[in-house]
Amino acid sequence: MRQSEANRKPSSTGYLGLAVLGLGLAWAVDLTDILVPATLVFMAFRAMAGVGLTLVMGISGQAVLGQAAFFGIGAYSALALTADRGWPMAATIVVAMAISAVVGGILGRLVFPLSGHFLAMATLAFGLIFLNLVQWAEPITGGNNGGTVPPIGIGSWRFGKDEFLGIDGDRFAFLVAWALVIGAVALLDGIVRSRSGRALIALRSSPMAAATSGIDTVRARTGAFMMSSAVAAFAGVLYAHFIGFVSPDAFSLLVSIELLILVTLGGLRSVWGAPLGAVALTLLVELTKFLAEHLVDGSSAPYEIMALGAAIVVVMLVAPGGIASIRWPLHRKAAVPNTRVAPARAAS
Amino acid sequence: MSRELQFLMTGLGQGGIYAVIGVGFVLIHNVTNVINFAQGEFAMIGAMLATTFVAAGTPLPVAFVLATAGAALVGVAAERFTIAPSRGYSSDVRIIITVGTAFLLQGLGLALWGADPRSLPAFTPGPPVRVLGAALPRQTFWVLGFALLVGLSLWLFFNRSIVGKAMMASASDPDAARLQGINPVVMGMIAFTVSAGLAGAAGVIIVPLTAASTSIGVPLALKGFIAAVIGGLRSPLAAIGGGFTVGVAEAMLGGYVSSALKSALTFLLLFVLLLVMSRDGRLSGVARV
Repeated sequence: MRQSEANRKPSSTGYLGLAVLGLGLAWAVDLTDILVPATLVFMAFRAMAGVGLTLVMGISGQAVLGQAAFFGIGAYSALALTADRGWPMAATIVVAMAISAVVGGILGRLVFPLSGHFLAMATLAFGLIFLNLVQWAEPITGGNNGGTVPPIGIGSWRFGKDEFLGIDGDRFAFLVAWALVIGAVALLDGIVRSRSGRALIALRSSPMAAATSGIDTVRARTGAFMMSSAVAAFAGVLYAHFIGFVSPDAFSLLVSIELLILVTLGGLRSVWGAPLGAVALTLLVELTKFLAEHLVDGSSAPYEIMALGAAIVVVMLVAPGGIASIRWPLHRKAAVPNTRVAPARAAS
Repeated sequence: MSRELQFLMTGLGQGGIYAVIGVGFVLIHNVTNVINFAQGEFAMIGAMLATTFVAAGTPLPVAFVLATAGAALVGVAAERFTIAPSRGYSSDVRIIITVGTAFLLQGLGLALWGADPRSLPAFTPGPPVRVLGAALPRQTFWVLGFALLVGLSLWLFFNRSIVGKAMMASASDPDAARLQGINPVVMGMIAFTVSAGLAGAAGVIIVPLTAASTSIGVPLALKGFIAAVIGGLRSPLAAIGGGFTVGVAEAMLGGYVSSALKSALTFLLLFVLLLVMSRDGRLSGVARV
């Protein structure tokens, strides 16, 4: 059964078709009329960071609780290099991704020889260390007040602000951001199907057996973690330029948790988990905000945190494989073979 | 000398809380093999309940008991609704579930009590006690006494009582334990109740020393976890030692090196300590893959 499913590999073009269809639909109903455009673009950046997380958490089976810090490395690089030193954005992206990968590499090297929950705790600690450093290095980061980052632009044209070929700025940014997400998903799909991807999947189901088959477990996991950190930094640079402002709030623990929820909600075992999760998470947060604003006085923040927490618990208990594991009729074609399996249940 | 002693004692006072939270990690891990991320939130709930009761005119000792019971109740609920239904799931899924529980509780706390820090009067009022030139708030002695009491009673519980041994048995081999007539489900419930109650009590005791807000849970959980791991994740007494180590390290780094970088340096040092100890194979609770 599983064998026959594995043989029926959906092609990457199938994915692209689906994604293009989705984008077209979004375009048709003109989501930008319903939701704030920035929310939609932000959703894409989160999805991008989430795609990296899927590689580590879903494919190699390790929990990461500090992803926002890597996102933050990207955003603060934009602030320190592009905004303050006038670097071109491409150079900033390269440097930010390199820094992020090195940090991820060091963390991975140290932590992966230990058992599962250590990466969770180490990345959590790293997230808090990062925030503390940001507050401390005030001359560079602006401390708690943050700093502004100019929009991306060529000449007088500014990305996300001015219209492009008759498409208004917000919608154009939305399209570009989601196209990048699809690119990231395609990249992840390629990794999952490659030799190293299979090594990571083998590692997830049985580290011992994988090690016996000659897979360097520490190296494979560290590689995945480095890649995930670099992707998050990439998303962070773009985020900073699009939003135009960087402050510690955007990289707090809560954001890391949102990213964690995003990938678990969408489905840890599917390459489409992160984008699906980003959409579901955004809807959940917006709905909670809407309800809180109409039903209670004061800030809606506590209810958003509650909703996020409840969402994790419920999804993990009801469908540990997330939204992507629910078998929609259309879904059969879009699922990745071997990666749809729900988290292994222990023998006892 | 007085400066060193001051830092040391401040560290021990703060460390006592990490110790008790760490013991909670050990207790739950010993019985259910779950790393319970919501551990710090139980302390937050204890602290917030106590400040609410005292503000409403309840005498402090009564408020202490009520807050502890309240936290324990939340612990049972967490076990019933999130941990018990996830029996048999892989451990990474269960850790993520406890992360969700932690945020659910934090949001609940924020909705009920807001974000402002709250305080309580010291358990025994009076000026700080002077020891060898260091001035120590009286509350520090409550914290130290409580931490030691908890460590000792749990050691006795696990090593000398039938229920304690049954709990250990259901952790190391649930199936074998079941054959001996031990119900692992009941043991898990007991572990959560006791851990949450202890964390709640610790939360109340710390409030007079450092004002508490609804956001204290996550840092407390992280430092408590580190305390538990330094102690090997198996022994409650060692977790107490781990807690004091974390507290003293934090106070010394904050005092001597940089108070602005205190939390970064503490986590860094503890992280290194953790790695060095686990590399030597001294941590019995750390499985190497």
